[in-house]
Amino acid sequence: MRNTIKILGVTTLLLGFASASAVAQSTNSKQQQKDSAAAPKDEASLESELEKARAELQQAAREVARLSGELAQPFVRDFSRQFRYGGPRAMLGFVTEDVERGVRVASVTPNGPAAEAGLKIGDTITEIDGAHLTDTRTTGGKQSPTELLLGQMANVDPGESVKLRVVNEAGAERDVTVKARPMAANVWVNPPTPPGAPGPNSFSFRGPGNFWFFGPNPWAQMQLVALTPGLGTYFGTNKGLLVVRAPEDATLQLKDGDVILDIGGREPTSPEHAMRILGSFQKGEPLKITIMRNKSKQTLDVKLPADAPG
Amino acid sequence: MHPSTEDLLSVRDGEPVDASVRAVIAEDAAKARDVERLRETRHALRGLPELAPPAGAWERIVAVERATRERSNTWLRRTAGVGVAAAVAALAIVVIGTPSQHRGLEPARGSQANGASPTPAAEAPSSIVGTTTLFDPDRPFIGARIVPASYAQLVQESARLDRELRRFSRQRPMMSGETATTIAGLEDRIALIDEQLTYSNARGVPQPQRNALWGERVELMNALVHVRYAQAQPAGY
Repeated sequence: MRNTIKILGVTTLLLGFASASAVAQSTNSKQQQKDSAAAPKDEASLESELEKARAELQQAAREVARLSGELAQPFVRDFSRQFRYGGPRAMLGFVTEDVERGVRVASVTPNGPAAEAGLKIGDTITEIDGAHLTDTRTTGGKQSPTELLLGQMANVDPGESVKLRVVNEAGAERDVTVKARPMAANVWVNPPTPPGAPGPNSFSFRGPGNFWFFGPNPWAQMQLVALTPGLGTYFGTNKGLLVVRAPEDATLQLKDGDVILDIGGREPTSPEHAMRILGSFQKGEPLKITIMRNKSKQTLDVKLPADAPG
Repeated sequence: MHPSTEDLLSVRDGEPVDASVRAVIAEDAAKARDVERLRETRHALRGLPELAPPAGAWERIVAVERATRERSNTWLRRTAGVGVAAAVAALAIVVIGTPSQHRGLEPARGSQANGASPTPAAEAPSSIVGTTTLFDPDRPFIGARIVPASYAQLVQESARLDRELRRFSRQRPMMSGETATTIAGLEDRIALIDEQLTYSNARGVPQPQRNALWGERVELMNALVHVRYAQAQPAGY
C-alpha cells in the first residue's frame, strides 16, 4: 500500500511536470506562430526550455529505475546473497536461450563486454574457450547449454578474456574474444536509499560490503565529450575525455580543456564510463587522475568527498 | 604529385603551399598556364561593372530568411522541446502504469500449485502493463502501445529497443555529468537484470518470474532509449 501511494505520488508529480512542459511548449508554439513577423524567440530561452525538459526526462528515467528496482527487491536479494558468498563474478553481458547446439543470445547488455566485442542478438555461441556447449540432455546428460556456459565462467576472473565460437543467424561462424567484467551484486543507481539521503540527483559511492554512501552529485554540471583523433591533435593525445566544462566543485581539480586519460588506472571511454568509474570508489578514498593539460601529461592527486551524508 | 585546384588557387593568391606543389608548377608548363588562367579570370571578374541590386531585393531576402528561420524554430520546438517533454510524459506513464500486482514478481499460484512445467508463452502473466508508451521511431512520443505480455513478445520488444538504442549509441555527444550518471545507472541495472535472466534460465526459475524480469528489462531499455533520444536532439541550429 505504501509503495502504491509512493508510486502514485511520484507519477502525479512527474505527470504534472510533463503536462506543464508540454502545455507550455504548445502555448509557446502557438504564440510563436502568431508573432512570426516579430523578432524570433531568444535561442537562449529555447535551449533553457530544452534543458529543463531533458532534466525532467532524466528524473523520470531514474524514477523508473528506482521503482522497478524496489518492486524487484525480493528477487534481487536472493541474487545478491548468492554473490555475497561467491566473491566477485565475471560477466560477459548477454542473456542466453538454450538451443540444441549451444546458447542463443536473446539480448545484449548495452555497453557491456559482449556488445563491445560485437556480439549480436540471434548469434549462437557453440564453444567457450574450446569447450562445447551442446545440450547434453539430448544424449542422456544433465546439463543445459546455459549451465555449461556458467560452469566455464566460474573459472574466469573479471578482466580475463574468453574466446567464443559464434554462429550468426545466416550460419556464418566466427571467433569472438570478450573481456569479462566484474559483476556487482547491487547497482549504484538503485541502492537502498537511507532516510534523509538526497533526492534523485544524488551520487553514491560504493563502500565495502553492501554499504553505500550518498551525497549530492558534485559533477552534475560537468560537460564531457569523447575525443576523436582529429580533435585530439589539438590536445596532444588521440584518446581520452575532453572536459568541455569543468565542474564547479574543485574536488577533481579539473579545468576546461583538460583531457582525462585515466581515472585510478582505468581509461574512461565515454562520459558515462567516467561516472561509473568515479562511482566505484569509496567515500573519502584517494585516487589519481591522469590528464593532458596544455599538451602536457599530468597526474592529479584527488581525494573523493568524505563529508557526504551517510 | 598532382596539385589540386585549391593548390593552384593558393599559388595564384600568394598563400603558403607545400614546396612540392611549387616545384611541380615550376616544372610543368601546363600547370603554370592553369595558374595564369586563374589569374586572368580573377582580373576579368574584378573588371565587371558594379550593379545596384533591384529595389527591395535585400528586404525580400531578409523576409525569406526569417520565414525559413521561423519554420525551423517551430520544427525544432516540436521535435526537441515538445518531444522531450512528451518523453517525460511517456516515462511517467511507464511508472504509473506498473502497479506491482501486475508485474508477476511472484510465481502464479496456479502454476505452482499444480506443479505444471512452465512453458514460455503459456505461463506469461496475464497483464504486465496496460498503458505503457514505448519508444516508436516513427512517432517517438505520440503513440501509446500496449506492452506485450508473453515471453516471446517481451523478448521481441527488448530486441526492437536494442536496435533503437544502437542507433543512438553510435553518436558520441557531449554529455553532462548528470546525464552520464543516469545512463550509467540504467545500463548497470540492465546488466544486473541480464545476469539474473541467464541464471534464472540455468536454474529453472518459474516462467512468471522470468517474464517479470523481461518486463523489467523492457521498461529500463525504454527509459534508456528515451534518455538517449533526448540527448541526441540538437539544442540549436
